[in-house]
Amino acid sequence: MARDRSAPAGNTSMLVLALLKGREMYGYEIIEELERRSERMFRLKEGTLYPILHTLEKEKLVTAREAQTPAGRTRRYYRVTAAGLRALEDREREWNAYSRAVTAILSGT
Amino acid sequence: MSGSYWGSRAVEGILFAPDREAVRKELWAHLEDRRAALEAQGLTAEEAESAAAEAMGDPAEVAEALAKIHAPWWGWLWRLSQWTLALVFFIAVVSLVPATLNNIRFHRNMNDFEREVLEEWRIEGGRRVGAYWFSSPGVRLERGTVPGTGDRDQLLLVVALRESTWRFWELSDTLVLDRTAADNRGRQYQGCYYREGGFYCLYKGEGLFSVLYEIEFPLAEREDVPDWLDIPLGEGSAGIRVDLERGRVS
Repeated sequence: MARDRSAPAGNTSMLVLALLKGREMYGYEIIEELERRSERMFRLKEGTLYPILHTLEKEKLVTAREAQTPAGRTRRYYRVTAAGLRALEDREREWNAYSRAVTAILSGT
Repeated sequence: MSGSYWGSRAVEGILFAPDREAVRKELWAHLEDRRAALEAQGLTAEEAESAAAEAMGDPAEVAEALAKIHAPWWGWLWRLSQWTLALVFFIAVVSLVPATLNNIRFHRNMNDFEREVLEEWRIEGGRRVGAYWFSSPGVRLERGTVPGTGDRDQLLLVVALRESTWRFWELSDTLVLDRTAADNRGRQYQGCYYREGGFYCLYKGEGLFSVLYEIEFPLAEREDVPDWLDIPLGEGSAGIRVDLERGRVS
């Protein structure tokens, strides 16, 4: 059976918040970091990251600042806010409960 | 698919132009980063650009999602403000250019009629008559040709008169007809006669919201210049007083 490399449905924003918890990053970096930390398990269609980031920004879960690269590219660096950290904790709890339930079923306990 | 096409397609649903440009730049930077990484892996520039665009996914899907997030109402307001601005600009051009040309003509028409300006009065203020506002850009005393006659040395008092209204569809090009004007010395001037004791109203053109006339009063002597003139308007009893002494219309 082919392996599904899309990020877990509905939880991409949780993964993005988790990645931004450590440091501010721009979109391309987030994609790279997601692939690296998931050991290439998760691979997004890269453009779909931006609606997620902009939604998080609109919900004030992340903030953004612009900076120019020496090559003249405009990069937007995203940083998680206090509200974003609280939202991440909530989603982690939900995910852990879900994960325990799936594990329990798979292990037959 | 090229990167620039992908970027343009992905942001086309964002109506607010500054927002659209900011997002386009952000996506473009991502595409460039990916393209550079692919080139470093050995792809040609063309292959790398195509592969970078491919890795971004379906631009239509991204466009739809971005359009929902980036305040469509604000975008429509932005569009509406642009259309309004364009309309205001168009009206201003249509209105101001002819008015400006009229003013230029007012100061140059002595060349048309081979006139010499002997004296000028600046006139301020105006008078509202119904939905119309009457004002005067100025009055001149000229000497020169009278159109339609052989007289090349006539003294003329030229009163410029502007009729303005927002009801541009009701502007008149026949302001003063067969009526009688009067001055402070009790003299009367009969309309539509180009001779001493008469006056002639020349239609000088119009803007969208205003019409400029010049009313010419042939005079015998320079000393005949009155302190003020009562000029009849249209068909009713309305009129305006152009006061040269005070420099005002009332």
